[in-house]
Amino acid sequence: MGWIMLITPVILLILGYPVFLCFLATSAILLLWFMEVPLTALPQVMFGSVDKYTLLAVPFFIFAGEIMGHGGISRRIIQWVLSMFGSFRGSLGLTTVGTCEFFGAISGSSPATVAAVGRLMYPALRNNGYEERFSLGLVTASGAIAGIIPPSIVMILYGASAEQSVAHLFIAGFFPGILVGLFMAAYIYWYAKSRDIPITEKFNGKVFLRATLNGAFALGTPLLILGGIYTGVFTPTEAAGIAGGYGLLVTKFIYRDISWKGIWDVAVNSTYLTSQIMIIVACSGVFSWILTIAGVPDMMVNFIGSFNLPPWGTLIIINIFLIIVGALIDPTSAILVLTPLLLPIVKAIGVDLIHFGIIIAVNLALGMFTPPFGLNIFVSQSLFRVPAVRIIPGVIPFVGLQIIALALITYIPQISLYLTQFIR
Amino acid sequence: MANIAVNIMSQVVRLVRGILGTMMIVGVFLNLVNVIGRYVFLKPIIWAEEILTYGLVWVVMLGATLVTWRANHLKMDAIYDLMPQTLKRVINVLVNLSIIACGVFVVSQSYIFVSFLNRVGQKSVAAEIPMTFAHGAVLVGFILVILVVLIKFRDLVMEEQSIITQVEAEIGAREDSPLPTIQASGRGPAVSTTREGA
Repeated sequence: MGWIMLITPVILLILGYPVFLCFLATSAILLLWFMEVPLTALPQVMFGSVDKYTLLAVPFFIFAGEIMGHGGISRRIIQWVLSMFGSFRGSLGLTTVGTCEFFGAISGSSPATVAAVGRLMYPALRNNGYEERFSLGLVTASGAIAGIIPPSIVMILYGASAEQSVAHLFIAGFFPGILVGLFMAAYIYWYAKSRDIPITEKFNGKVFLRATLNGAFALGTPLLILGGIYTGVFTPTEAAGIAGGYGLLVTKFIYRDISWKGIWDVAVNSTYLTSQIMIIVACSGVFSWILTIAGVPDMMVNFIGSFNLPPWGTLIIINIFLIIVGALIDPTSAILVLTPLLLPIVKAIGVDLIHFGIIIAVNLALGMFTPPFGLNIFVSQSLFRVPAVRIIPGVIPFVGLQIIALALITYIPQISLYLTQFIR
Repeated sequence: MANIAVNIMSQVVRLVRGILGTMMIVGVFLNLVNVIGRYVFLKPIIWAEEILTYGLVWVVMLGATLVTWRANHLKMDAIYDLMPQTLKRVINVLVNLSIIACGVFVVSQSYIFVSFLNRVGQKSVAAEIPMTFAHGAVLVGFILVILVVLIKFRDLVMEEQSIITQVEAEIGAREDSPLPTIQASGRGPAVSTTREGA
């Protein structure tokens, strides 16, 4: 019975059913014919799955990301990072990664970061001697940092689903996000050196200062968001809302990059994107609830336990499983369905639940650009009008690098947990 | 008949878009005022969190209408794309019949629950608004989703755009997602945008 419950939505998914419907249809069948619970629980659990203050951060962060990608905020961040790295070999590649760290610290959405940063950086990379293969791989992969560096929508969903503090998850993601970026930076440096990519410009204090002043309001955004959360001044949800309001004011009144009509379109579009994600939250909530009352998570714990693996072995299995799932389905659905199933298992082997949230986030970030179905590959495909087969070879080295980073993050919990001791 | 459908959908899409955009902007503003109120005037708006969260439920349920309307629900279409045309149509029929069946189930149960809430007159803790209103989101959302699927059934199955084109000409909106939908943290939209754009 338990296995049938798990396999039915997978079959529907493979057939091309919308994700929300995979969960809703399976739940409806189970409720109608196999479970002994009042049917009116269905709309109540749907309501309850969305009716969470934590989840309110999702539309706010989407709105913030949309409005900042729309206006000149991403362009100003690139100029600033470039003025800093200009004298390094491989400066444009490093700038791509650096900007993704920064933009990810605003938007929390990996495809949004590929679009905002990649659109501006890809032509620059190509004009400066980077091969197509490498450039495509770089812009496609570096956007994934946004899913790890706080704030991250994946972490908000995990926090809501695992009942963990989103603020703690956000601070725990900081070093892992930097670590993944450093791995990429090392590869870029090696590449630039072996291909003899010219140094673009000497570091110039004046240029740097000008870029800093010019971009001050844009650069202030991550400081405002993360600083506000870490110091406990506002909750992650409030910070998300403030990021939206701040982005709106800066883009409209200081940079004057957007019209009133543009703001209205961004607002409608943000609710649209929110709904795309959150209707799945509502329906998978019902499905998870049914799994739980049917005792499926316990069944999974016993199943994994029957192999008698040491904790590190279980973690390897979970990681491999997550990489495969992450490469096949979108992070939202993955996190919502897997969290209730995996939590009892990792609890049983004594993994910290904040640390586990980071492991999931890094895995799913990796899944965002893992061939053949990583979403960022499709984003690059539509942005740069190249077929996926030309993007995939360039992405593969980055997949390898992130797997190494993932192993470090999985087996050295301090990378994630060190900073959490500093906040309440 | 077709004209009636276009008229109804034009009204629905226009109304839903209007409500959604307004809720987003009011939400950002209310959140800002709440934080400022707490720190500057030491007076938080006690009902703000509750109203915002109910607003979120409404946004999700009404937004689902538009997502269904644009047939842009997140899905894994890697294998679906490889299927022959006939099989695709069979699956499309099944998917849309499933949406209607599940929708009717949700609506019927939600109606029972909402009328129960209405009878007992339960109110929310902080804002003291009727819980009928909060839970009504699921009811209204799924009624509209069923309506959309019924009106668009033929287009959805054949993967055509005829009604959408007519309605959008009517209300003068280009698309529900003016920016390519790459901002979502999911797979479906970017893939379908690629296909539509190509």
